[in-house]
Amino acid sequence: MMHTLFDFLTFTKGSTYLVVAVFLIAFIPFWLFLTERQEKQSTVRAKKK
Amino acid sequence: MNESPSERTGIITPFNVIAAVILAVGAVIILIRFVKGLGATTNLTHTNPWGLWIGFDVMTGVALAAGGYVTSSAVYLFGMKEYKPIVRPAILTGFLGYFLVVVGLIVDLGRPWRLPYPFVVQAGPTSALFEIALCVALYLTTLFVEFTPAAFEWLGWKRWRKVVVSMTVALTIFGLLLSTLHQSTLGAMYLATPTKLHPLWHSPYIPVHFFVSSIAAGISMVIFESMLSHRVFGHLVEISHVQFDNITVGLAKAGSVVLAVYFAIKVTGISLEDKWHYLSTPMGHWYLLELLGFVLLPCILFAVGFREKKTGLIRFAGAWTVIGIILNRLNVSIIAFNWQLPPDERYVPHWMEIWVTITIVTFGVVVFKWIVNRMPILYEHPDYRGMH
Repeated sequence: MMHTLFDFLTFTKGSTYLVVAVFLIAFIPFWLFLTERQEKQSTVRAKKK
Repeated sequence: MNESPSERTGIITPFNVIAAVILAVGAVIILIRFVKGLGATTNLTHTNPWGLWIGFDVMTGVALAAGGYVTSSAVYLFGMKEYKPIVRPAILTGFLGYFLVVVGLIVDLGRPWRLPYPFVVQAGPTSALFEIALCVALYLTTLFVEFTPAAFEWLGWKRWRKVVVSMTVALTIFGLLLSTLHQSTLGAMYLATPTKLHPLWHSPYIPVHFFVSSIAAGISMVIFESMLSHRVFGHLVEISHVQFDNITVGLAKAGSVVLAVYFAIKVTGISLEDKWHYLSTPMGHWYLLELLGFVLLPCILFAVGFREKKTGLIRFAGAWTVIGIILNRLNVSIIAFNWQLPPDERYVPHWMEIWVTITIVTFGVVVFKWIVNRMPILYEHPDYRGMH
């Protein structure tokens, strides 16, 4: 139970650190999903040259 | 100055007739508003002093006009020259968008002769509204100057064109600076309304929300506007379909990343203020619809569209994001504002307010069409090919 402002800040900051960590980790597969084919195409083009 | 296609096809077209009817009725309503006041034409009250004209014409208008600073910064500051063909249409859209914001604001405020008062009579430098007024005035001027090379090419004023083109980078930096300031400050205004705006939309980070979402709005509006321009003014467009599709695909990547960041910032804000419990309420469901349906969904659609090079999907996602931005700004300014009031005290726009908003949008479309049909916006002027 939260009784003081300190309790509230400890809880919200703690949970927000977890949320931010999830987003930062999730951004890696998101970026890979986004750019995977682009990188493959640029590699193929470089090899052709 | 060449004869425009519209002049060749005649002035009586279905578009012109419908636009003329909307503008004529709108002009009469605006006249009534200035003669008889807000009470005769709006449902505004002391409880709800800001309605559709602020929520849509100003808040949404500024966000959707962000394509100008987004594309000009990408091309002239970050060296993404492949997006050059869309800079002029984006700047024209931005210029007209901001001009219509000012028109909407004048209709709402009344007494247009008092518009310069914040600068010359009674400045309020500690007010968020003062900063917005100053930035919008300066940025509208900047966009006008950025647009003038196209007008000078059309008029054949080579010397003036040369002067303005030499200032391109400085104007772009100034425009980016001003946009960063006032896009975020439009959100900062709502920091003063913690008891009126629903907690899910009210946040200490609302200026950041407004700024980041304006970038997504600008990118999406450029995608949406260029799609319409290429359909309606296809005979004027110079770039090939392949080049146009490549530009659209590139914008999708940017749109996807920006929406992902925006989504993360919004969720982080909910967590930081421990607002999770509001999500299970009816207003929370509405918030989730906005967040998941109009932020996360277009983010995924942009990502898939970019990955698979599906331009149709990207254009749909662009239009969907534009609707999402409109929804967000209306949520903040109208729907989630005064949310705790009983239904009979809630604001619902008067039909005349809606008509004036349609009039302002129609006026913008008519002016855009007039300019694009005459000036080198969608193509390069033969005398200045590759020079800007």
